[in-house]
Amino acid sequence: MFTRPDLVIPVFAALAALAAAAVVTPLFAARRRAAGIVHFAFVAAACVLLAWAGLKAALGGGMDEAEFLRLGPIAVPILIDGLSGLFLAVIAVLSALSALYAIRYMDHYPDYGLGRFTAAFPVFILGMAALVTVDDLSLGFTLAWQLMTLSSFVLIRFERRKPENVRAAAKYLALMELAWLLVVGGGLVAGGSIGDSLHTLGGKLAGAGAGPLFAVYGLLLVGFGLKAGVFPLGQLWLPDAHSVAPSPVSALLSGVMLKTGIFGLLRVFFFMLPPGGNGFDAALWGLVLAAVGAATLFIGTIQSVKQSDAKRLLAFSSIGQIGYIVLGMGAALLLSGSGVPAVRSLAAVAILGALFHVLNHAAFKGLLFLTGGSLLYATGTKDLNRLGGLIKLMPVSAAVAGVASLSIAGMPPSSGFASKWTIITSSLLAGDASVLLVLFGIAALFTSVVTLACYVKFFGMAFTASGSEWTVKKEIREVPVLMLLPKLALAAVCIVQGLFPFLFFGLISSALANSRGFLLGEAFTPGGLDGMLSVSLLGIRVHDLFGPGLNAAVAPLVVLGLLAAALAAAVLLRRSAGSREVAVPTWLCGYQELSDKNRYRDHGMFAAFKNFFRWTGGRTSPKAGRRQGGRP
Amino acid sequence: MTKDSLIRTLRDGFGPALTVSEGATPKRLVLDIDRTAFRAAALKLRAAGGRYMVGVGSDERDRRGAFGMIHLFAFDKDGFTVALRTSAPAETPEFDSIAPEIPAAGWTEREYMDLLGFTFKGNPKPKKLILADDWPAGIHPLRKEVPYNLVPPSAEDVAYELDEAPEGTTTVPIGPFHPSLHEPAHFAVYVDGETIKGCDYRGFMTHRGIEKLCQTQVSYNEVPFVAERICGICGSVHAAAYSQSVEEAAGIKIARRAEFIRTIMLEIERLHSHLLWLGVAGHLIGYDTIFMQSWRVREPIMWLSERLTGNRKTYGMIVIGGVRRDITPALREDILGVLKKVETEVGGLKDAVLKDTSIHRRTKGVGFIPREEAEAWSLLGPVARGRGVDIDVRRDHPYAAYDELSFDVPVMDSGDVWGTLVVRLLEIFESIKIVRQALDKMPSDGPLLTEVADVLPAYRHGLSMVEAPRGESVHYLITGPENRPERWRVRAPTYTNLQGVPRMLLDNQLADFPIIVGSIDPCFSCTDRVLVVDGRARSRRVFARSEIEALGRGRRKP
Amino acid sequence: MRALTYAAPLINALVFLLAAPLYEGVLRKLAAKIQSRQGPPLIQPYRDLLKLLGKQTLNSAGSWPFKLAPLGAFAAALAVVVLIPFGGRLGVFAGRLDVIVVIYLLTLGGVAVLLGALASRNTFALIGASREMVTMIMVEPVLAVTLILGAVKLRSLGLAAAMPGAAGAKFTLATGLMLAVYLLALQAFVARQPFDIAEAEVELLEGPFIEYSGPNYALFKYAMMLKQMFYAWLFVSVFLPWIRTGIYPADIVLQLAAMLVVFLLIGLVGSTNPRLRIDQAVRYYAVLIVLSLAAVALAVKGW
Repeated sequence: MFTRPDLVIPVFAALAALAAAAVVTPLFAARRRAAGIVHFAFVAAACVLLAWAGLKAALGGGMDEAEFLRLGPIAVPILIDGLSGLFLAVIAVLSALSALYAIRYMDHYPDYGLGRFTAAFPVFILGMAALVTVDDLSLGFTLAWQLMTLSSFVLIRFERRKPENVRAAAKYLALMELAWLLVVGGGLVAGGSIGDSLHTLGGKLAGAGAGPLFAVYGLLLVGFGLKAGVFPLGQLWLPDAHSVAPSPVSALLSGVMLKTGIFGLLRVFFFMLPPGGNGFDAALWGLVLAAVGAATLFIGTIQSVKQSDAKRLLAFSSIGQIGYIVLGMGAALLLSGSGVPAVRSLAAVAILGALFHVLNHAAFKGLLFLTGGSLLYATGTKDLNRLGGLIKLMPVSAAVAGVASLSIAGMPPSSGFASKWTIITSSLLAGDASVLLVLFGIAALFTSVVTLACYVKFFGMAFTASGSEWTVKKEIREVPVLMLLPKLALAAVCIVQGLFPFLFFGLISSALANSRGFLLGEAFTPGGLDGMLSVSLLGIRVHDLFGPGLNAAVAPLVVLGLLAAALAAAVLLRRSAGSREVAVPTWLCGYQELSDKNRYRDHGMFAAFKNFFRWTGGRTSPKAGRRQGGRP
Repeated sequence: MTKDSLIRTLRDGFGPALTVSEGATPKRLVLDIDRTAFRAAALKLRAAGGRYMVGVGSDERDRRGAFGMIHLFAFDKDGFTVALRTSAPAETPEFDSIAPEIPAAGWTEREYMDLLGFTFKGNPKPKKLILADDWPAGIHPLRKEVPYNLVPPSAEDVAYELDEAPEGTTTVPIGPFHPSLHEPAHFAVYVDGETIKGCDYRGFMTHRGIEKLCQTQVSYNEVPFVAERICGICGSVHAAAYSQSVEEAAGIKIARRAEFIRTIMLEIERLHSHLLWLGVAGHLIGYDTIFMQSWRVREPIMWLSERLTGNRKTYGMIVIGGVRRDITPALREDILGVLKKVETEVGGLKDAVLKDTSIHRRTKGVGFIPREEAEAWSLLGPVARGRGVDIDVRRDHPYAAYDELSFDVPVMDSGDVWGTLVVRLLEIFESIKIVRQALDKMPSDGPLLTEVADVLPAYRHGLSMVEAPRGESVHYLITGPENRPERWRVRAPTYTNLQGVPRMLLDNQLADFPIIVGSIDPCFSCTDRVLVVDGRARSRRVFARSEIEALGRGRRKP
Repeated sequence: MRALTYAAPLINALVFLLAAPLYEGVLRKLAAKIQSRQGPPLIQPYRDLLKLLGKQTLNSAGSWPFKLAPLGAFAAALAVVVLIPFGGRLGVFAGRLDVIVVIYLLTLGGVAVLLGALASRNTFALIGASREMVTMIMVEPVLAVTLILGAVKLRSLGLAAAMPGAAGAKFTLATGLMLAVYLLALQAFVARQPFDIAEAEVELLEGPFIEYSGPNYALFKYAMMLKQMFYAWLFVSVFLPWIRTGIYPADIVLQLAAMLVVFLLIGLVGSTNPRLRIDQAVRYYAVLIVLSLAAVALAVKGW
């Protein structure tokens, strides 16, 4: 039935395992620890299969075109190509680690049973995996989308006795259903019917007028944009939903679920195109995407700085990071239409950066949400105004949070640096191909410093500084090993991504090469980028694009070595005169001692900046129940 | 309101509870009132336009079995003052607080809660003001049974509790050791982000009980030398204010030439004080070039002071009955020469400061208070004049030789730090003008020091106000039987201005804290009334200026 | 020549480490002269560093970020100066790292300062850190644009782009505009008046550094001196590209001399301005950002 059973069977087996988990695990719900372990076992097994199949498709070649899963008269197109494989792998890794984390983390909710959670969690993964596997905008899409949406709705609503959670979940559900309508509507406008693969849909767009094309791509952009959380749509639901869900769920929501929106946008703008691109204005849509991306990263990140709720901060920052990805995609699309071969190569670099950021963001944002969960677990609060000084009590969590913070802030030589470097470089090198793209690139540079501010604050206010010694009444301890393990694993992933980006460039290039019908496919055919892009242990170099010479280069290991040498010099200098260290109290001018009253709190940080950018909005707390909904 | 109409109004209002008498001069109205009407009368005086100066509490149990309490009001337009007096029985020294309506009286009341054990019912902030954090409850140092050198054992749990911070704010603890404060005091500044939402003050950290010391240990003629050391800047102000209060109480008339010399000393003091302030203000907004240049211009005035008084500071010149040194014709030329040089240089400085837009940015609109509130807080000196309050003791209640001199009183109505800056700069030129006039009009001869009778009459009251560089200094004196003051109350301008500082800080940025506090030119030593004795300085050695410079710049010992 | 490629980074490090305190000394001397003071000897900053290295290390935090921060700040500053084409000579790293790396490394140095400030737990340090971060955010675009102005024209972000003169670019309208913006931002880059807002000695007692002493503080100070020198070099390299002979040692000397002029400018402006408030500074920076973006647009258009 399928030409590639080696891909399809593991995926279907994984989906079956997840479905089984949803049925079986709730039976153990009364014994919480057992439920957690059984749940993890099922999820882990499924994820191994998914990852295996995904990597195989990405590295070894995927399905060339959609094939149909037929159930009687109904046919659902299935496509597991390189791109699907890449996303399947991301979903698998993060899902398994979140499920592992959930075993102990769910202790945090003694008042809530685990039945719903263990039933919805596997379905959620199933929905996401299915969404990147089906290749239509009608039935298969609907099925996967609804599974994903309804299960995540249940998960967001987990603490259902809190009115703000119920509200956040309801809003989430309503907007996701709207997104579904928009996407399905887009498919219908394109003239699709049940069973049409995206490739077929693209074919139907041939010869369509500018108006219908505009409607199709517009609807799909808004629909998938809602899911991905781009500005201003993401602000409607994302911060509330992500911050109130249990942390392993938040990790999945931010780490991978948003990426299904990105996946949708990729499929729409890079695959589902009229044959030969006739009538499709890549430059225009690329500019739209890039502009949306730039606005998203700028606004989302600034809104993130304003937050004092750790998980809200992370949620807003997810919007910002999605912005980078969308900017990269937009740059790629925009430049893909150029007549200059060098500029088209640049487009390939941009899409590499965007997809690399998808992988990186999944790892560090997942890790950050798990860190946020650990804060909540250990202290009972996620309010940065009340946290502080945890580094001595939770040293391992602090260290991994440091890795994640440096990564997302894009400090060299971290993973965020490598991917942002790629995106920014390709924007800046666009030069006169698009002035706006250059300016977006600078906006992205600016925003990465804002991101940095965000995470200096997040890390500093939670782990260094002071506060929890006065505000947290219970004894604070490092989180259990079972919660540390997934965090350590993700931290390791972050470090590998940062130091060895060439591995991931290879993976992504291969995945794109193994995706038939990809707009920029030409660049990813063997030798397509030879002589322009070199990736190796010694970093990434873009060269000889516009005549001989270096265009851009980064080498994380070289940076690491350089910094290590400089650090060694600093250490030598510090020790040179044998200064002795003495512990002293904090100096506060001699009358007061450091206390809860005079410590500087999170909400005061960057006050001048926040005031200046007040117009960007960004609520610092979810709207509470309906009662307080109205303005006085 | 004129004196007569004021008296009529009060008689109508209080009837027999009120006794009106005249003080040492026609400009001193004394009202004795029943304790129950004390508060009402004070409010009436304030409503009639009286400016609250200060309160004077005294322990008079030994001679009349009661505690005395006086509220002093000034009617600046009409040039007279009112002392509203009452007393309370020794067992229950309780009064009604006037602080809710007259905020400037808050500290006075708290001071006597601490020092005399009074109670002021209705005081909005009945907390410790002066006594140290570990000073035991129940010991009130100004009471006569408490020895001047009492060192009680430290007490627990009596420390000052800072005000509760407003919701959502963090306390920034500033002082006692902080570069924007040049003397010890503590400000707990409540900030939201960087916006100041409130402030609590804990000062008096170096209170050494000068009043108590002078009421128990020294004689009239020694007090001036203590008085001028109340402050590091305005030595002549306190010496003159004290001497005038004794002279008023005892009815001593001093020689006119001495009055002119006092005037010259006071203005020279203003010159160096304003230049010092200008420098400090520059430093406080991070403009050290202003700081250094202003102090460079000031330096010749200090050297002049040394030639005039024998001290680099304006100390040791003014005593009861006159002054100790003459201004000879040679010194007169010296003064004129220095003034000329200073005038030119300050002229340049003035242009540089007033035309600098970046200075405008750091001072305009900063520390704003409208005129009405400035009056309610009884703000003084340039701080008041920068906020449209047209008062100046030299003009309104002339002393020394000011009645014979003509000068302008610069007033700005911008209501902010900028206003005080401009006022001070302009006053420098007025001071130069005054000194020149005084040198011209000064009688060419006459005694410097009037003989004072050995025994001064006891229990006479004397009030003296002097316009210090920072504003009005008030000394209130009750003569005593033992050749020393029975009660001597000193109120320097900072004591009053500092009370208004939390209001000035409100809704400003934390970065403006230094310049706002600096704009009142705070003198905590005046406020605290310190006495520092350097016990280490056993040996004496005179260094030449070049030697000192060599010491400062070089590394070798001289 | 190849040996020189390897030696250049080391030469950079040595020259910067040796000369940075001297330039600091020049600033102090100049300020003193403007203020009618005699001022400390030119070599005073060297003595200060030596003195600090020998002093006690006070530690109020007791956590590792507090100790790591000064190392990080110094290392990042040193890494930056190692990379740059000082004296017009591209070092061995030029083929592996580009100006984006330099921008981020500069930011990394700032992060280290902030990390230390937050770890020190001091209220003043946190306020200072807050201001430092705001300043960093707002001046970053100006720095970035300065570094990539040549790049958008040359279509290369390589380190050679930081020397447009060497790469044969002309002095254009965009360069002129950026020159003006750079000069307006210079005091903020080097944290001097009117933009020494984060340290604000009078109200924040040196802000982020309040809890630092001894060798740790020496490292921070040294890092700031290096950074200061970097910004002077950047000006010389980008806006005065004709100051070159092609002879390496001569170019080093020429650039050092030109940097001295930049330092005199820094000192002059620093001594004749009061400190701005952070809210005022943010508005000022915003204008600079807009102007920088305009400069980029001009550069892209080839003007």
